[in-house]
Amino acid sequence: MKKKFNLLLLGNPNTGKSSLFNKLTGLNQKVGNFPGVTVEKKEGVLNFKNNYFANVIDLPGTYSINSFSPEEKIVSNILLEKNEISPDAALVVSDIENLKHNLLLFTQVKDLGIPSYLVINMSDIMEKRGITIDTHNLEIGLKTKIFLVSTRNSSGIENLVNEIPKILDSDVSTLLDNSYIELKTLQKINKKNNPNSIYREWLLEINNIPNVNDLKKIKHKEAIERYKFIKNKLKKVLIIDSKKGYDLRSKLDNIFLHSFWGTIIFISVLAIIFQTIFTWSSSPMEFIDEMFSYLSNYTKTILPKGIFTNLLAEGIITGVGGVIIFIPQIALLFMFISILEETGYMSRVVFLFDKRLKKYGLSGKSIIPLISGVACAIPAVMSTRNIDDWKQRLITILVTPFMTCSARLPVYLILISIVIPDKKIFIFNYQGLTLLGLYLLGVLMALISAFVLSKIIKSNFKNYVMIEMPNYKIPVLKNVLFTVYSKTKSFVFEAGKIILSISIFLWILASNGPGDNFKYAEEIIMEKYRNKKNTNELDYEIQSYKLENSYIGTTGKILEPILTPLGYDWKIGIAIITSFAAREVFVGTLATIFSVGSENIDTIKEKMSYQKKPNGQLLFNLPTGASLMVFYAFALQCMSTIAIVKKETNSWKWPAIQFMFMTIIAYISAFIVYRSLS
Amino acid sequence: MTLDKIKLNQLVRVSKVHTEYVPTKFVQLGFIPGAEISLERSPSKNGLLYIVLDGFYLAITEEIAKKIEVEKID
Repeated sequence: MKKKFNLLLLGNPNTGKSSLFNKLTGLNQKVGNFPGVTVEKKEGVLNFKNNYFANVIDLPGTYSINSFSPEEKIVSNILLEKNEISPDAALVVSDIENLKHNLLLFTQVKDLGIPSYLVINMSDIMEKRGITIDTHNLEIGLKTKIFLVSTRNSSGIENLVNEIPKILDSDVSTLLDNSYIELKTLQKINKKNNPNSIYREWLLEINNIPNVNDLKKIKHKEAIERYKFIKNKLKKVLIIDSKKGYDLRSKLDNIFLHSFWGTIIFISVLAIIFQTIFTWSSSPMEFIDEMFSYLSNYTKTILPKGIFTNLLAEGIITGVGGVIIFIPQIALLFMFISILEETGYMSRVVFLFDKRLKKYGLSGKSIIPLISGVACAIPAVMSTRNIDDWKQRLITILVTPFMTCSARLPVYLILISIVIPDKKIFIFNYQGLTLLGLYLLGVLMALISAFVLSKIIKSNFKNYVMIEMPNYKIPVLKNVLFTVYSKTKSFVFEAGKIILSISIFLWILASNGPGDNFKYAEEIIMEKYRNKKNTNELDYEIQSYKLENSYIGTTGKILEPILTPLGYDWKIGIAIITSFAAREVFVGTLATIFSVGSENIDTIKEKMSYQKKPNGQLLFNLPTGASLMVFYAFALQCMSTIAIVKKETNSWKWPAIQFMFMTIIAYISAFIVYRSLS
Repeated sequence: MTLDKIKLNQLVRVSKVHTEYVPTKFVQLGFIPGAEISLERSPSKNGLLYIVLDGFYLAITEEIAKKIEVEKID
């Protein structure tokens, strides 16, 4: 036996393949993407005695190896082409309830000549569902070893692990004869006299057929022959007593799939989830914020003053804090999403919303990212992985940041309190109505943009809706925790790098400046306000002066001619640039510019209320305030979102396009609002 | 008749699949002549049919169901 061998895990979606992967590899796993695509690749290590080990690769769930979807193409390429993860052996995972359908894939893998075992999962429900199986005769019929396991209660897993080392010596003879292969093609294959299996050669051969309809006919013929074979083999070995198979499915479906009550229940479930996310994540987020703030200050006190200390304390530590702070929200959202998927409820949500969202070019599964975007776009964009259709997934990623995330709230609240009168119309408060309007504006723009993008973005792959409706199950805690762990890890180590780099870059721009004004800021302010202000006030004045004369401040001034048509001056320009780190930084930057501490919200408001433009008008009047709110509603002012979109689309092209189109929409809309209200 | 005409509690058998219109994925899922299908829920307004194909629960669009010919099983 080889010291190390590649063991592929294959199976249809919802067979418990990933649960088995987690059982086999524990935390010894790496999560990434397959080269050039954003289909998730999970690899892990399964150790045996005497330093032998298997490199276990969890492939995307697929129904067949010769279809057209990106996932199926990946599986097909791995199985057919020589590469670093070419399989030495394979475990094909199936679900006892859908064995007939799952076996199509097994017969294909077996006919490729790959040493394989058949793992039948969910053995724990056999009795309840009235299922009996004669594994001995099925093993003979399928020329393989069969393992009945339950990833839910771990039964059969130990036996499987003990037998895996013998897989390389297992029977590799094929199952089907070549009756589905055209004589002409078979003769061509035989002429090559290649040691590979005929099925492998046939798959490579048919890939060259140019006519899609001819190819479809050939594949359909193969599927029909395989089902005939499967039906024949299962005839005497698999017995399902449907009378015993009573379960809650129909009753629960009647409730969850009801067009009115199902929607109400879904909205309630989401309300509970988001309320919980907000409540549970606020304390750890505050703690992380305070901890990094303390760490930053502490670093400054223990290290000698200088550029390195400032870079470490204000750039790196603050940047790392800016990544870590998202963990509570990401972990909680994925915990809930994983629970919804594990229970089987997510498929019902897709069923309910598919048609409603399809009108806008989205998928039923887009509902989760879109609504999650109200909390934070980062976990929301990450959750689009559940959408199978690449085009629908891309559109969801591109429009999700229009949803009003929690970081927009501080900006909206301060602007509303300054420019919207605190009066009532009937029982409704103007300020409350404005906030509601901004939330609705986000939803509206997300849907309009999705509709437009669906007409622009072209896709060669047409995904026909087929929603598998799995049975309802109680979620397995371990699976939920694995999902939370892997999603959080991938965010921290992949998107985190980009967020940290941008944070440091912004810090450098804000902490350095051209000319003497920045360099001698302290001296200039001390001279100007000598004996007129106390130490605190002087500190605020110095910070304000430094920011004004930093590279960011200078850029704000350069951008002023572009911002003037929207009613903004250079100070707002600086706040817009710095808030690219995170939208809520807008308020803190204005506090610095107006020389007040960021903790004095009332003082900031007061200062903002009195600021005037050169023409004597108030800077924060209704037209400017409304224009700014609309700008923030539509602009992609969030480097973390850009980082996560880059990670999820595996390219800089889409975040660049997204940034451009959102900024253009924001600019034009803000201009229209300012002009209309002026 | 075609699959979109199936009624609740009715059991039908696939008699013909229009290869040129039905994606390969559906045939590989088991929509092949001889497969038995029943309707799990009354057709909903969202254009999806919730069916059971040889014990496999799934929802497909009416558009695809129209391309699958079935015959009643008494």
